[in-house]
Amino acid sequence: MKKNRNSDAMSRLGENSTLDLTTVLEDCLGDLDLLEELIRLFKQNAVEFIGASKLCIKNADFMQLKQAAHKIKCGLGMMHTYRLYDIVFEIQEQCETEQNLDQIKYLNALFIADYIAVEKALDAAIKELYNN
Amino acid sequence: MERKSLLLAEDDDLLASLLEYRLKKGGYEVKLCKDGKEVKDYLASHLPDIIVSDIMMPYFSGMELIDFVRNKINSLIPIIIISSAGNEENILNAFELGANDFISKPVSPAELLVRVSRELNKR
Repeated sequence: MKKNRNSDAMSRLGENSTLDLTTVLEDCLGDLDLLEELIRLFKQNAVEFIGASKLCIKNADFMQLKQAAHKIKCGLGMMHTYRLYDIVFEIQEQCETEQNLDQIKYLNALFIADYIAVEKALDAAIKELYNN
Repeated sequence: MERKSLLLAEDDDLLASLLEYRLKKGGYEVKLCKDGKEVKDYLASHLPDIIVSDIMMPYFSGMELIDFVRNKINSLIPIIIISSAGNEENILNAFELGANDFISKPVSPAELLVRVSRELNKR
């Protein structure tokens, strides 16, 4: 499978999956309940994206995949999950330009692998905030 | 003092939740619409003091919303557009249609509050 070794997503894969929710908590004016709700919505959106992308890849539906990628980007940026953002950005670019299905499958697999780590990091970060 | 009414048109649940919370905390009476149909239905019977709208929405885009408000309702209420970064063409089109201001994603709630207040103070 072709791998884009110059991509941001690839170059950042070695980073540790830790998340600092301080800025998001500041945006929430310190309201942990709101932060928890945002995290719940974030997880829901990510799971929806994974489901939608699987179907789009199966049907080679680049238009729908591009829209799904566009839709989730805002939340990824909001929660400061920049590796996921980079991956989704590249998926969207692929859909607009080359439409290389192998590359999109590869990026999608990266997204899923990274999301699992991000989900754990989110749970750990919110637990830490409650403990403090 | 009477709270200013604000229509927030945003289909992204995550961003909408945060902005609705912050705008309410900022003293605004917020009506949240998650798609263009809701927006049109609401505007048929209400005219808010200000509108904050995403450009890309299901059924009725932010562009159509600006056109609707300026040319169908004939209102000059301030409209602030939320746009993805790097979407300069859309932003220019929005200004041409009559948008008063724009803010790029990811949206800083604090910045949005300043922009909303500034637009309302111009009136």
